[in-house]
Amino acid sequence: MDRSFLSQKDVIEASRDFVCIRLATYESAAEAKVLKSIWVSRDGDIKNTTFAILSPDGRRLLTDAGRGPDWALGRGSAAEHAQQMTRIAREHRTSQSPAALPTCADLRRALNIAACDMQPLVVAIGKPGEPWIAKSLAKLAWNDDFIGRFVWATASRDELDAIDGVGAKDKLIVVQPDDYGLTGTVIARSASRPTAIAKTLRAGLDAFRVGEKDSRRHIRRGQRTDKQWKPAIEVTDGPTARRRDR
Amino acid sequence: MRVTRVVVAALSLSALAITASAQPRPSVVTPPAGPQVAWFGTWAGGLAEAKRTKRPILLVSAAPHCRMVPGVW
Repeated sequence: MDRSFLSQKDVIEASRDFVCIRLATYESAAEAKVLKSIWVSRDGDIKNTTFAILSPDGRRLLTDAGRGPDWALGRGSAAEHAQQMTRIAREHRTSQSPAALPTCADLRRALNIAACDMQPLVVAIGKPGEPWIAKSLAKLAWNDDFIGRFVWATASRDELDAIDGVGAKDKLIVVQPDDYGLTGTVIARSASRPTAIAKTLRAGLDAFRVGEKDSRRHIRRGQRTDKQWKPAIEVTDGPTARRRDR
Repeated sequence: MRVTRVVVAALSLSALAITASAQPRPSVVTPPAGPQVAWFGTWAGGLAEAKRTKRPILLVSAAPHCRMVPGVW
């Protein structure tokens, strides 16, 4: 993923006029089908990365699609791409703002993504439709203090085995993922009162610690210590796919 | 002689182009400094919100592993 583009201030600002969806490639057959309908490489398969801008109903491409922003927005700087995004957004002016909690599909994926993003993970323990999750927590996720600062997930209590330090009364936890996103540790917690939620999110941001990550060293150490990720569906790009083809 | 020079120049340019395109992406990833893009992590969740708000969709997909090692895009 092109972090150098997506972490630019101009691009982040421009993204606020969109609904931003980031799928984990190779983790869902249904989502792979969606990706395939948007862009495939010459060999007819999806690749590790896809980038596209679509109409609000998801049916129409508003730019070309491809592996990264250059494919969709042409060669240019992040600032130029951000301007193009803003032009596209202007054509879809709306007074409605996102209000739903922007969760990952499940806790396993959320932990891994939080480690990739080097951000804390917020886990709401309960059902997604519970009012304190769907209303109070979701509202805070789009608040200026918290937008774009966390990875979000909901989970039931029996799905929390990978998280260390969960208390019996905890309803909301902020989790520090390990470097590989396979386990995590609770760094802030609360019951579900709205005032306590904001306080817990702030405490989580304060307690979260992360340093630089050297990708090559991370991968070598991961291979040596058997930190393995098993994608849900077949990988069709990179060394894994090439090994399969031989 | 001139043909040889042209061929050598062309080969050198090709080698340069290959070297440039083969530059690995930066190995060291720094933690985000402040708010980032706010991502929906599922197609269904994001699409429902895009339909409701009538906002266009910025869609990205990426594999959260490299050589099957998690924790890195």
